[in-house]
Amino acid sequence: MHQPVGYVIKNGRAEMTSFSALIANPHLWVQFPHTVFSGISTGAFFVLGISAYHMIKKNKEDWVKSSLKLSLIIAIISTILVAGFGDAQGKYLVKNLPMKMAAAEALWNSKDPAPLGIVALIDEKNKKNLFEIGIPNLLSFMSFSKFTGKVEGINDIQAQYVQKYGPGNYIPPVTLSFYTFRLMVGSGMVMLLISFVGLYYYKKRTIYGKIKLLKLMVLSIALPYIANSTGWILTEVSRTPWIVFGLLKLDSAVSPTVSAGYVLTSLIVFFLLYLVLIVIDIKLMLKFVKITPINNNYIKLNKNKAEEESLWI
Amino acid sequence: MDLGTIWFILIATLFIGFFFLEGFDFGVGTLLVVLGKKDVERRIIINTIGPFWDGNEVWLITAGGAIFAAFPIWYATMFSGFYLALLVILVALILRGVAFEFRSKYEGSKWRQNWDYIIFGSSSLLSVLWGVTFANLIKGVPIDNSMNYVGTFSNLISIYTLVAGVTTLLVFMYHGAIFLSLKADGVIEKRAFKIAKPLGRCAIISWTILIILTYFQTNLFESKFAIVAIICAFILIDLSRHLMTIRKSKLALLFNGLSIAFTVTALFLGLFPRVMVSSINPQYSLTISNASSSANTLLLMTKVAVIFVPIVIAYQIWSYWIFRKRVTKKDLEY
Repeated sequence: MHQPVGYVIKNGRAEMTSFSALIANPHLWVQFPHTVFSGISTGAFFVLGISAYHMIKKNKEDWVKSSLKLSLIIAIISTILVAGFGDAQGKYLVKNLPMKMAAAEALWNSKDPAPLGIVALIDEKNKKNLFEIGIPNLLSFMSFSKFTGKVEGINDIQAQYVQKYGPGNYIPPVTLSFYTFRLMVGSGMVMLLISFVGLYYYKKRTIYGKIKLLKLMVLSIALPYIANSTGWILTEVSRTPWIVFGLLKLDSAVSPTVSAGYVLTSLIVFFLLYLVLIVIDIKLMLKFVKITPINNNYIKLNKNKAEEESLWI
Repeated sequence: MDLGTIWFILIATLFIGFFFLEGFDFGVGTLLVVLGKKDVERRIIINTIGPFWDGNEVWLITAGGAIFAAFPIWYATMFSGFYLALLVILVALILRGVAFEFRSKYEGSKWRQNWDYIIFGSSSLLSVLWGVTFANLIKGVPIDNSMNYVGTFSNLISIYTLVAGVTTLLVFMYHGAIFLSLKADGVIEKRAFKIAKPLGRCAIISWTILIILTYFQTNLFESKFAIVAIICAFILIDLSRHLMTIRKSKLALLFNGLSIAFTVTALFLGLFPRVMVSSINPQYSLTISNASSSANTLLLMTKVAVIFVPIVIAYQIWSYWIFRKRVTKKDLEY
């Protein structure tokens, strides 16, 4: 949808001409590993958080240490890979889909060298930032691996797109793109920091005493979820007004027979359903976190209660 | 045979597989609170379908995916037109899956009872809704000349479609009862045999009414093959009833499953070469030629399907083989 390939427009629709072109789509190979490794790092932080919880509770069983170690290592490797592929994706986007990155950076006018914004008060109506703090030259560096280089701004890209695709507004929601990008990258950086500090104290064998760090690890279970969700929002939102880039805009992709009321109904239903399920899920998880694989109190309790409860997952 | 026809047959096959297999686990879900009184009994009932129910849903997902890829216009018209109905189906499927997984994770009897009622409610509702949905496919829905569904939710509900819903529910309950008589032991096995008799009778009566209504409501009977399939379906469900009275569950399950398969086959034979019937004008119906993907896409999909469909079928057969034993109190997992 970001970079359609291997198709031909026939009978008013896109028809596939080459499956190998779909598989070889370069966009796929910067996005797919980024997503896969963020999945792995989500799992690693989950295990890390729960191992840290047992350390806080002074659980001296062997598995606590080894699962903490394993999850720390996997957390570090996968988070570095996520960041690496994210960086590759960023560089790729600057070249191929510059509007996405310009919006994610709230860079209205082309700059050489371009600074990396940290915070910005964005005025989308007048297409400028009222206030911004940035690190000089860093965006150029992130885009081209050198400290100079012109990064195209939103207004210039908008002008190019008008020439290419006809009149229209091609600017995605900038504020949302800018801040979801920062939340994603920021969470990733904290994740890296926590796992490196964790590994350091693990190697020094003093991690049992670092209660604050362990507590931070428990809380850090939330970080990959924040990073994943904001990353997803970023990549979808910054594609607007396109649903398929260059081919199909959002307003022409809307189903003609599904009313806004229907869509709203389904949104509310899913929101409520998942809200209930999340609450139940968290409650169950909190219960299961306390059970350890060795001193399985839960199973013991069960066996006393009823003899038929012989097996339990 | 052109690729469109091949994919029509494949999608029909996937739905036949879905109703044959998921039919009994929906039925078992409905019978959960009817036949199971104590928690252990209910656990035995759930464990009979425990290793299978999610595998059975694969058939539905594959069918939906195949429609999406092979007949994008059918997919677009149906999923947009049946929006609210499919929303309810999806919510029920989610709740049902969650209920199976969650109920054993906590001891409380109130907790377990609530999930039991969700399994009962969602299984029953899903059976009815699938009947309603498929009846609408053959009966026809308002589709205009630009292939859009122009009706509302209420267009999908009529006496005919509701009879189809009730029939599906009863046939599935009967199917589930046979399955339980085969897979459960002790008191559940006894109760399953007992309830299978009246359920079989009700199912066959309701099914016959549905077929009579179908004669007046649709042009299914214009297809000679569909008529043959209908007759086969009737003979098979009746045979399965007799087999149940002499307690031959295995054959009864097979025959009733085949009866379901023939009924679904008749529906698709009656549809062919249409995929959705327009009630406004027969000219507006979606067919395998005007709703399909490009030949290129279909060819690629055919290659992929030739490789993967046998693999899926093989591992499903394998899982049924592994879990072929009766479920007793000793091997409860859910």
